[in-house]
Amino acid sequence: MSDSEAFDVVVIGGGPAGQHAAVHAARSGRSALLIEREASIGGACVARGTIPSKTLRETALALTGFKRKSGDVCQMSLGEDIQVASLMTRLEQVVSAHQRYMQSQLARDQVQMRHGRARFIDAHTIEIGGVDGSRRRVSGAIIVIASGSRPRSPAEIPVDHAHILDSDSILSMTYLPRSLTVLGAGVIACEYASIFASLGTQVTMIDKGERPLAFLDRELTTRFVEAFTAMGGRFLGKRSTASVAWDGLGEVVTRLQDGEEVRSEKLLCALGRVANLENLDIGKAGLTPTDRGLIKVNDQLRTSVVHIFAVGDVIGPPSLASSAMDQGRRAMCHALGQDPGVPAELIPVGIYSIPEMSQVGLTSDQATERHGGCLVGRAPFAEIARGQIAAIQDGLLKLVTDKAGKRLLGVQVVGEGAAELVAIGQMALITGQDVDVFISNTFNFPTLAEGYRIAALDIAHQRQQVPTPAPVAGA
Amino acid sequence: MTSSSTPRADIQLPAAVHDRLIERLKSNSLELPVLPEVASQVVTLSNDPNADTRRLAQLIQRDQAMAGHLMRMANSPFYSPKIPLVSLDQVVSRMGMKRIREIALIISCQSKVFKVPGYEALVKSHFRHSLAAAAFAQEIARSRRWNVEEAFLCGLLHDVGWPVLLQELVDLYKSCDVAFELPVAEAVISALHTRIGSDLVKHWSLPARLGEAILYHHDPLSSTIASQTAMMTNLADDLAHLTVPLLDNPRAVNEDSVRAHPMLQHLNMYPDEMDALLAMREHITQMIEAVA
Repeated sequence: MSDSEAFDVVVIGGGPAGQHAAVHAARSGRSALLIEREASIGGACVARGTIPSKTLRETALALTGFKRKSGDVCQMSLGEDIQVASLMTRLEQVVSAHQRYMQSQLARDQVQMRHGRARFIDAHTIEIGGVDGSRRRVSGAIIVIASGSRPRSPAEIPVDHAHILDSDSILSMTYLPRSLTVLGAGVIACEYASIFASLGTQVTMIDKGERPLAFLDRELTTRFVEAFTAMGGRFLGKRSTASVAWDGLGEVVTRLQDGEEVRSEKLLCALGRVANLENLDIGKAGLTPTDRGLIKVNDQLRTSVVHIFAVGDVIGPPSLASSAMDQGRRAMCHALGQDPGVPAELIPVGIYSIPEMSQVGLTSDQATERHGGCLVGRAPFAEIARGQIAAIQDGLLKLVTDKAGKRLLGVQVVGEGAAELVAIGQMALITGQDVDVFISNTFNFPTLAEGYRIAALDIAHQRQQVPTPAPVAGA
Repeated sequence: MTSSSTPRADIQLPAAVHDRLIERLKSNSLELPVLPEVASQVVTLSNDPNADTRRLAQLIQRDQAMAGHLMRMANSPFYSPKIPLVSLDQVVSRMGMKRIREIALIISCQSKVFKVPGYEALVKSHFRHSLAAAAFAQEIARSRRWNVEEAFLCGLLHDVGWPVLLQELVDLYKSCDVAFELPVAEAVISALHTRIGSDLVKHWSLPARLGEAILYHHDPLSSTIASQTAMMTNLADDLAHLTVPLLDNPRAVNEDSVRAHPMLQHLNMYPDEMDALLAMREHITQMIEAVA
């Protein structure tokens, strides 16, 4: 550890996970260094992922919502030559404001920062290679790997960032394409497929799975596919891709195993992400990646090398910014011998598609499997005054309880505001509330939160109808 | 690295030429060339959501020179079709509106619009430089996982104000009955070409972001809406100078200077990524030889 600047904690990667680890270390009185290979901190979340795509989504919603909320009094359409970037005019402001805030928080907590690529020299020493070709070494008593991920480009999909795009390059597409093929049906695929469909692009989504987002409640994904189809989208489930090729002229040709050919102006390859480990040389630190190219950690987020921790996308699912932040803090608590608190088992999932979807806790299928049955209460937004006012009648809030209809086990929401709305149910789950808490308390009127009371009343009604509720499978 | 809107004070234009130029700049009455009719209609048609490729083919058939150039470009290494394209219908139906527009703009930049009598070789040298900048800009964009289309167009058109101003100054000198001085004219052009290029692409109904990136390609950090593209063009410009030096005014660029380029920090390009770009020089030179 000689000839290098020494720190108590060295964090590789300045995304949500790395930042929280570094800040927690600094607040615990340790010297902390954060190494970021991009020009600014924030990781994929800020520069290429969550924030830019949500900014595009907000614009799409504003444009489509204007027409809907006017009761179709105002007709509008986008010119064919509209630039994607012009739909994100606020993006630079949003990103720079967020980066300024993060930068000032790190500076306030006296976290030191270095710009460059990190590479292990040994288990405690890291070389930082700068953009200018400079090389310097630092050492850390504790090291946290939070180097994030990038879009996966399977060898058979020739991503060229011109016609065949990934989730990074799609955001800088010059023009709104007339047609778009989306490979995959995960979170990123569904978000972009629905955003572009809402903007008038003819979108075809292709996936091996029977339905998109298989980890979500089935009723939510059914509503998503209905809404996507209503916007002119096509979902081709249980289909495999045989080949993808730019024809060298005007179209991307996607051939499916069953012989069908899908032609489109652009293609988005959204077939997952891969961990950023290629330049780290983790072997020098005594680490080996898993078969899936991830870093294996235990329940303390510790790797096989006792002083090296890994957090965020490099350890695999759930790969959410929210869980990454918590992992960063928890890893540092474990490293410093602090109590990290109760494990966050109730991490909500938010899908910023159109419509938005979110869930926390158990779905009805999971509840039936684990508890031998459940009751499901539903509140269609069409029955909520705010849903009518805001013209989002196609939304739905679901509560899942045990089969006695008392203990709350899960909440699922589809429709605008779903990711915010689910937080009410999340707090009820964390504090172990019965479903009746939503009946015996008052919500603002008119709000979508009223849906909790309506869904809880639905369950109360089922309780009265069926004293000993039978299991409800697949509700 | 300036983006001036007036000539620099140290440039000694003849007084009469200077006064007329200033007058035209102030009143925005500089004569901007129109695209050849067919190219202009191609741009318009490519912006029309209801247009179909049959109309595009009919349009191009009206201009045999354009049709010939289109066939040559479509089969060139720039577009590398997987099968030889033998008919105009085949080119138009398979390449799509935006590609045809791109080619129409390349062809227009080579057309008589930009042929300044007496300075043809000079203008051609600038066109070759622009093609190299377009090729480098798209490779930089690809390495940044940034879409390449805008980068290519910006590289192609970044100096489009240059031949326009050269023609304007040749005409002004002539109307003032003063002997033309190329070095003086070039200093004026250097100061004004970003503004005129930006005005020109707006005049041609091309996207506003493109105009902004052209305006700031020598001062990318001042751009508010197209800084990434302007930065990539700035770097591509120097790589193009290194690869295809200008006939009249070779810029003092060498491998060491591009490896220490100020935009590398902003674009977050590491030395190995610059090595990959420099390795493309020969290929890009060959592509340019094939079309210009």
